[in-house]
Amino acid sequence: MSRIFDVAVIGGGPAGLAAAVSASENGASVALIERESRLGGILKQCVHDGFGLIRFGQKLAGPEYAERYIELLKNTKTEVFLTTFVTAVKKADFGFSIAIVNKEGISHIDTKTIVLATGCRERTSKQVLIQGTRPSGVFTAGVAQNFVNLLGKMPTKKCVILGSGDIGLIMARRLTLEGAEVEGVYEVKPTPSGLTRNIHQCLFDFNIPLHLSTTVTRVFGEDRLNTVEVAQVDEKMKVVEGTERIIECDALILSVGLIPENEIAETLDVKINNATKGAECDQTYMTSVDGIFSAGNALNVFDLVDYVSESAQSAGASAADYQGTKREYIEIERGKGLLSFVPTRLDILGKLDKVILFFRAARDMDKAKLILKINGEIKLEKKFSYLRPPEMQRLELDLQNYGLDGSSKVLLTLEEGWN
Amino acid sequence: MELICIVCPKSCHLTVDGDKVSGNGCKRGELFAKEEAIAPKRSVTTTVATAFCDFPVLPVKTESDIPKAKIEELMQFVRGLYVTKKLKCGDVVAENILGLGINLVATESVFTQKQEVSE
Ligand SMILES: Cc1cc2nc3c(=O)[nH]c(=O)nc-3n(C[C@H](O)[C@H](O)[C@H](O)COP(=O)(O)OP(=O)(O)OC[C@H]3O[C@@H](n4cnc5c(N)ncnc54)[C@H](O)[C@@H]3O)c2cc1C
Repeated sequence: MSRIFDVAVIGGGPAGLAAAVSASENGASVALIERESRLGGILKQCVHDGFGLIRFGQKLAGPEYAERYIELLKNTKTEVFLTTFVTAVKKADFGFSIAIVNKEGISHIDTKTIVLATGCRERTSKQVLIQGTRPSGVFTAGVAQNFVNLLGKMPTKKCVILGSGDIGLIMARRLTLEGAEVEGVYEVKPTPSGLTRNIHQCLFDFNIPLHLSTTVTRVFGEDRLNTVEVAQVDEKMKVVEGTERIIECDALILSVGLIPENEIAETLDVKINNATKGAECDQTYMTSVDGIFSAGNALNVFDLVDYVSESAQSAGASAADYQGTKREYIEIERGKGLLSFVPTRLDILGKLDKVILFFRAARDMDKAKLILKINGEIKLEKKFSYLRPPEMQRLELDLQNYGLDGSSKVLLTLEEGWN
Repeated sequence: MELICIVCPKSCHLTVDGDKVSGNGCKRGELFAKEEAIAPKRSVTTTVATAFCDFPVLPVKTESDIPKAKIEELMQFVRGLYVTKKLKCGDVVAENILGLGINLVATESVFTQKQEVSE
């Protein structure tokens, strides 16, 4: 009879590493499956520092952070499958059968539970509307990062960056340090989408201009891009005529956001949350499908890798503990002022004393107040001096003494103004 | 002087008035503000070329922050470096860079199937 793992973790980035380590430490037999030839996920190409301040109390570079976890993994009995691609997952009476492809051919890994830790992907030019030809020279910030930091190759001499997401800001600095000219960063919204500190240390430190309420309207070039047109937009995101400007450059780099990678989740009919675009999950990180857990950026774009690891550590422990015990769910309703949060639902039969809530505000707010209402009654309030959508917040909630039952209505809202 | 703290992602809005700092969420923010007002410093992360074709560049960082005004010079210096040894994460890649008393260290272990190359 073939072997059945207690937990199979799909994805060997920081989320998968933390999930595998914690599942092992909780006594589970663990398989970790990664399609690339080495572990670390996207951190391998994030050579800048700023990772691990919360988890390790130190400012680490991405690969350094990954290596810490790879060392922790070596102390466990986790079986690691590298250069192994998951093609499909099927339900079975024992749990799940994962179809894989690697250099030994096609086979399968059987497991009782799965942690999905497949990370996120970048939005591409298909998701932003730009007119003109389709020359080469239009790529995402992550692709540029891969070129420079993993291959040691420069993809541009002079570029324009569209979107003010953090990866774009980080790459503006990186490309400038390597001798390229970054003509400017263009953001269609009136506020930047990246962290304020990145606007300062990546753009302003290097005199790279940030143009808000401005977008790229056209691209030109035969084989290779040679010109882009930018223009300002009004409050309705309509181009303001007469503000068009032509910029000569050899690349347009897109940094227009990240979305959770849900390919496998969708084949399993895992419910997807509208706000996070990742799986619906309860406080143990279990999705709507029993035995399937989700963690890291596959669940919710966390940005901060420390939070990725924390969520994955819980997901791994939950998967190891999984007994198929009955659960009863209530959804947490998203009220005004909130962009997204996890968990999106609560298992009221499970532990409710230490629920970790991660949330983002829908807009910039000063003196903001997070309010938790149960059946219309305010149960909890938490004040924040200011909140920005790019900065995810973490809060530990004790919900065990509110008498939650299957008919309870739980509502989260953010309000502005307190004294 | 108004500043944005870059120590952690919270990005606190700081005000420096003489040697008084306000708006900081923690002690590190106060230190950052005081230094930033007089002699701004940054940590620099970049990559160094290697002799290994399956691992062409090695990520590195300055062990501690260097003066902001020295960044350009540091990048020039790094461009001249070439790694031929299978360095481990934390190993020194170049000592006492630009005479600043600060080392350049590897932030990843060289991952290659190739032999070490002699210079
Ligand atoms: C280009 C890019 C740059 C980023 N830069 C930063 C940054 O500078 N700072 C920061 O804090 N965050 C950054 N992020 C966010 C980053 O995703 C998280 O910080 C963190 O790396 C997420 O960890 P993860 O384990 O969830 O995902 P990842 O690190 O993406 O790991 C997912 C892993 O799953 C594997 N995988 C996916 N599908 C399959 C499959 N079907 N079979 C087998 N394996 C599979 C992938 O190969 C990958 O190794 C960046 C994200 C992207 C996309």
